[in-house]
Amino acid sequence: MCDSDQKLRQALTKIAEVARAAVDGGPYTDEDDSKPHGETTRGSHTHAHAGGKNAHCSIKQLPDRLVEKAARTARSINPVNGVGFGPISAVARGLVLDPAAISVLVSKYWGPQQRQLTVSFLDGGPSDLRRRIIQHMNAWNQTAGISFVETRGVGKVRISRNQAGYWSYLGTDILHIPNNRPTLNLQGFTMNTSESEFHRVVRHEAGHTLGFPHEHMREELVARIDPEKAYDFFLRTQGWSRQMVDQQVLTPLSQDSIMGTPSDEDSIMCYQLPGSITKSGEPIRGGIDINATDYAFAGRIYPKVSAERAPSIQVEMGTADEWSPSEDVEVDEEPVQ
Amino acid sequence: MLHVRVGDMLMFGATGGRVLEGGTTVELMGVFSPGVVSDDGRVLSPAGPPTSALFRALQSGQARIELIRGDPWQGTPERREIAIIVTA
Ligand SMILES: [Zn+2]
Repeated sequence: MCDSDQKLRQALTKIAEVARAAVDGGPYTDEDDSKPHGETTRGSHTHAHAGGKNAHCSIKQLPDRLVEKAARTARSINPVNGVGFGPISAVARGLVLDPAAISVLVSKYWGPQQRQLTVSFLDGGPSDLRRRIIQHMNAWNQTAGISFVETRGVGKVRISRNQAGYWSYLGTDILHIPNNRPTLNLQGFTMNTSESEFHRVVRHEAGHTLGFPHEHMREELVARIDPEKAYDFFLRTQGWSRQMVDQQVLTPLSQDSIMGTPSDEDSIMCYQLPGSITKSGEPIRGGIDINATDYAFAGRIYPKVSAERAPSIQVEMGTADEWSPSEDVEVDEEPVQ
Repeated sequence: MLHVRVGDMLMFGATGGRVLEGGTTVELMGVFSPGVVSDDGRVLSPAGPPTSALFRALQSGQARIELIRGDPWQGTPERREIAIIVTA
């Protein structure tokens, strides 16, 4: 495992701990944060299971009957979502993460629990088209513990096809969009749209819904663009102002970056940019499908614990802590906003 | 053919736009991304190219504008011309 992978894993461990601390109602202490994060996996967080034999086992298990309820509560509380989206790129550069960097990494993050996001279609459309769109969104589900499922009601993800452009709101931001508005737009998509466009566009927009911003805004890729050529190109082809070009193409996302891997111009989250606007004349290729790095990253950020794997994990972690049902604590569930 | 009055604003769902003819009659004010005020008071914008092209009628005359829709990154966006007549 490379260094950045390990740091990402540590960030995820931390995220899971914050969420769990909220569910447990116990105090969340950050005493490890003064230490290099390479040590956190030794499991000295005070709220973790005391005397855990190894770090990955220091996770306190709820009795089975409460697991589902706790997951719901965690989702409604989701304490890690209150802060700005931040430098996961710092992870890629191998920097030691401070606590803020870890927390900011997750502001639009759905949390580590597996979940299903409901999807509705604001302009209807034939069932085969709706099914095909959702099928491509679910390509991420190959490694990530989030899936999309159509609902006849109002979905958390609301897809339109009659607005301009291809876009999606980022991650949990979709929960804050008025119910009658789309969260994701696929201009003009029909069953006649080519399969490659479903791969390139639908999967890219679904990536935004998972909270992944644009990869082409990574510092290393932006540095390859000649600003004057870009201003000229987008003014000519799109009528965009310099400010819009800055916003769309030239502002590196050092503060709110994406995939925690070295910048990847073949990521599905990277747009294609023509050689006529780069300093070298070489185009930025852009991703045409979810690539192996994307899949691996999505699987780490949204861990997928399959039903088959769950028992072995249970064994590794030790059995759930049992107490009698009469001791269960009622937690008021808040609706997900 | 669109008939508008001086001072009218024209907003089109488009990722880009420009004035082809009659730049003193109609001006492109800009191409903008939408913002939604969320239920918690933040202004949210989707990730993606801008989606609204905004024009303004400056004085009487004729103009021709072009609207660009589709994917700005793929080089084959859909273009549409619109003739505009501005009256006082
Ligand atoms: Zn995008």
